Parts: sequence; structure tokens; C-alpha cells
Amino acid sequence: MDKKIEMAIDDIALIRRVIERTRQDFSKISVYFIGIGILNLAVWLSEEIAYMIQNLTGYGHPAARIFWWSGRGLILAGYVFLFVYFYQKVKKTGNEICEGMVKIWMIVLVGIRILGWLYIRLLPNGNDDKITVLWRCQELIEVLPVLFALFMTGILTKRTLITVVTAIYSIFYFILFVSMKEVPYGTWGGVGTRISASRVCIQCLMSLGMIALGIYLWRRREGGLKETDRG
Amino acid sequence: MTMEINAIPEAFQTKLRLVVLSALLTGEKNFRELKGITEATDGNLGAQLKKLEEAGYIAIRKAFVNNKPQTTCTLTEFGRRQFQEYVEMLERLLWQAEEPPAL
Repeated sequence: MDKKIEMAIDDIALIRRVIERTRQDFSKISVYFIGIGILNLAVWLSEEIAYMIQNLTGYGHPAARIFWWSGRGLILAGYVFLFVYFYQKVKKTGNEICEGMVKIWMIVLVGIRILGWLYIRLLPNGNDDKITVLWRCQELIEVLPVLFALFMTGILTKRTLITVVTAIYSIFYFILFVSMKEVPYGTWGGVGTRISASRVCIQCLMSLGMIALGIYLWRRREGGLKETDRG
Repeated sequence: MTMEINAIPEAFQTKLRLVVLSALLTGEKNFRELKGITEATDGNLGAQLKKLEEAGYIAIRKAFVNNKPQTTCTLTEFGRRQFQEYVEMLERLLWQAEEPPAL
């Protein structure tokens, strides 16, 4: 084969590989997921502290209320801050996959907060069986969009492990949800309360799961291109 | 004016420079990222970046981030145009090779 043709084939293949390699670099977005995880962990902690104050000082203590509401405010403000910061960062790199993922996650995370709030406001007052079931269904507003976003992340990043783990988690979550099992919660310094096991499962996903996802995407950065040694 | 096979600019004559330009095509990259992609040594990569900057293909920005120097590279408009011309030339070359000879 003509040397020039060989060179042209080599160069085109190399350019394609480099572009594909840069598109598959999710190290910048990985910090976004770690940020989401840390934020949720902080909110979980603030909830636990709120319960602890409540357990020690009695129901309705202002400090408990401060921790309770600051956690909710912190998470919404944190999501917006993370979006603005990482969207600007990712836009500069020109990675359309990362840009799309940041947008999807922003819509999902802020959307579930707003929808969840609206759902609770629309729920009728009372504690009969119907309302208890409707109350428990609020969880689904939170978890279903997150599962959708996780599946999308797995597909967009072409990481089969993310898709498989999300599928396993979904099955596990729905088993917990329909089992209606309850676990003690907020037990620091007292009896606390009881919440559904599936609710704890969501908290684990949003905090530890997101941190694990971030670390996985960070560690799965692909290696360099050996071809550059030539020439 | 289109690029000719006998007059390929120096920027495209080494694989390392070609990889750097291809990587910058999808957006700005810092030195560490380019090093990860090219697996070149600091000295070699630094020298090639300097040459590309001198030729006007890339713009190098130096800043202090968290008390550490950070070098960020971006493809210039000229560099992008030249890259496009180079790829078009390669495609032309392959297309001509596939074309059956005239009878």
C-alpha cells in the first residue's frame, strides 16, 4: 500500500480514537456526583441531629426545627450551586455527554424536591389507611426519577456496571417498598421514630451510592494513547 | 487554499502534536489531562505545546489555582481551520485511492 495512504488511514484512526477517548473522560462529572453524595450525607446528619435534639429536649424545640429546615434548604441550594459550578466547568471541556448528564441530574434532583413538596401540600390531613398509603407513595416521586437518571447515566457513559447495579437496586428497593417494613430512625439520645426501610434505602442511594458512583467514574478514566510514542 | 500532501504543516507531522490537537478539538484541556491522554513526558509535551503555540494553533493560559500553577490549552480558530483542512486532505487522499483508475 502507498505510504501516503497508510499514513492517512493511521492518522484518521488516531484522531477518531483521541476524540472518542476525550468523550469518554468523565473525571470532571465524577466530582459532581461525589458532591451530590456529600450534600445528601450532610442533610442526613442534620436530620439525625434534629431528632437527637428532639429526643433530648422534647418535641418542637426550636433548635431541632432549625436543623430540620436548614437541611432541606441546604440541599436545594446545594443542588443549584453544584449545577451552576459543574455546568460551567463541563461546558468548557466541550464534552456533550457530560453536559447532558449534568442537565438531566439537575432537572431530576430539583424536580423531585419541588414535586415532593407539592405532593405533601396536596395530601389531605388525617391518618387513616388511605392517607398513610398516599404518604408512603411520596417516596416513589423521589426514587423513580433518580432510577431513571441512573439508567440514563449508565447508558450515556456506556458503563454496563452502572446499569446492572441500578437494575439490582431497583428490584431490592421495590421488594422493600412493598414489604412495608419499618426501621427505627433518629435514635441518637432516645427512641426517635420509625420510618420505612425503603426510605433508608433511598437515603443510602442518594448519599453513599452517589459517592460510590463518583469514585467509580473517577477511577474508570481510560488510559492514554500509546501511538503518540511514534513520530 | 486547500492543504496539499506535499506541504503538510509541521503541526501535523508528529503523532504527539496530532493527538494534542485532536484532544483540544473537543474543548480546552489542562496540562495534566493532556499528559494523561498522550502519555508523553512533561518535557516532551511541554516542548510540543510551545511549538504549537508559536505556530498559532493553540493558546496557552497559565494561572494559579489553589496555589499551584495550572496550564490550560485551547485550540485557536486558526488551529481549528487548519485541522479541518488536514482531515479533508486525508479524506481526499483516501477517496482518490478508492477511485478506480480511468480507462
